[in-house]
Amino acid sequence: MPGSINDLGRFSGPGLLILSSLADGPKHGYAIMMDVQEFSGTKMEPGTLYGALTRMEQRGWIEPLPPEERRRPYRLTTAGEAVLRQQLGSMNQIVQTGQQRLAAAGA
Amino acid sequence: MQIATLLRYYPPAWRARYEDEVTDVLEQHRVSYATWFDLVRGAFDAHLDPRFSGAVGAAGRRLRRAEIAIFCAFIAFVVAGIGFQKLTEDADKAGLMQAHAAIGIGYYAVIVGAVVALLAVVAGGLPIAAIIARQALAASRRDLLAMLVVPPLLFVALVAWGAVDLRSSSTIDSASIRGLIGFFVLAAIASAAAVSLAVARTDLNDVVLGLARWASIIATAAMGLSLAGVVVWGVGLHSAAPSSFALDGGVLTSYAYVTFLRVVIVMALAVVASLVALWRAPGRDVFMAG
Repeated sequence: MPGSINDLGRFSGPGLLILSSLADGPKHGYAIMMDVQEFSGTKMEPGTLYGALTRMEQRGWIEPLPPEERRRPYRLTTAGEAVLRQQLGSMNQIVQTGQQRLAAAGA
Repeated sequence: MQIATLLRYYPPAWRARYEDEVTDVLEQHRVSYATWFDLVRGAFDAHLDPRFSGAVGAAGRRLRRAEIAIFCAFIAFVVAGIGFQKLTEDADKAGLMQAHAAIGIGYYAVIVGAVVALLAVVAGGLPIAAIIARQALAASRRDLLAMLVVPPLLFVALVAWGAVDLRSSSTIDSASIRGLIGFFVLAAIASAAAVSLAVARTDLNDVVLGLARWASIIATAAMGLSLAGVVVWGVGLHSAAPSSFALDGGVLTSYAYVTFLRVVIVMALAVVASLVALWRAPGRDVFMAG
């Protein structure tokens, strides 16, 4: 079992954004922050970014690649992909349910 | 102050792994107050994380044992201090304290020493308690959680016992007082044992152990000050009003000199035990390297 994104505690939200960012390929820290801001509007600070990265690396959801000078890219692992799919699936279920109920209430 | 200097306050193991990367990110990042706050909070998180700071060596474990011993000595000291409080509570001695400088100086030395020792134990113990609670919750360690709740539970039981006794009668008889004091002493021993076991079973990092080491030194010095104060107070009282020691003003209406001697003996043992523990504990340089 790869676990759940909720295992990250207060880093659950940032963790989901980071996994989503890494879903299209490896990125280093600053590139993750920029990407997250672009697709979600969330400005992530470095302390939070690395708090989440350390926890996800420990759980084997992401893995570091060889450093490029001082920058070290990270990539999604199979376990990380499973966690991301599971979380997005349950969020999708919530979105669909909410939309259906709003539509029913409006009709 | 450059924001990257905050990274110095992260644990060494974290810095070895992530400092270069985060420095690179910070150089490109638009720094705000939120960035400073976020990095400080991250430093606390990293220090509370045993993966980065829990790997203390044999010297660290020796230091932890010394700190447990000093904590237990402090608890014994507090119990003895309550006996001292009983000796000082009648109005005659309060008057003598005003009239005779030695008695007053001794009394205030006891108070100052007790307050400083308590503050030192709290300052050194709170970070350790936070780490124990965090590890207990994170790893669902019921044994640690159970040990942590022993002191507050016994305190509540003690207060409830006293409240029930007072409610049933406006004055508490000597049998009840004996029971209450016996329960208090047993509760103090059980609480000290539970906290000591919890500390022994938790991964602590060198930063909190180093802080607790300084707190232990201050607490030991403060206990020594209190002990000196008790002796000065007793010698002063014996000179000014020798008959006071022959009265039944001690704990459980015992003779005051009996209670006084017990208080001095327990406090002296506590101070000696703390000094021995400090003497045998490794120095900061040794345990940081160990």
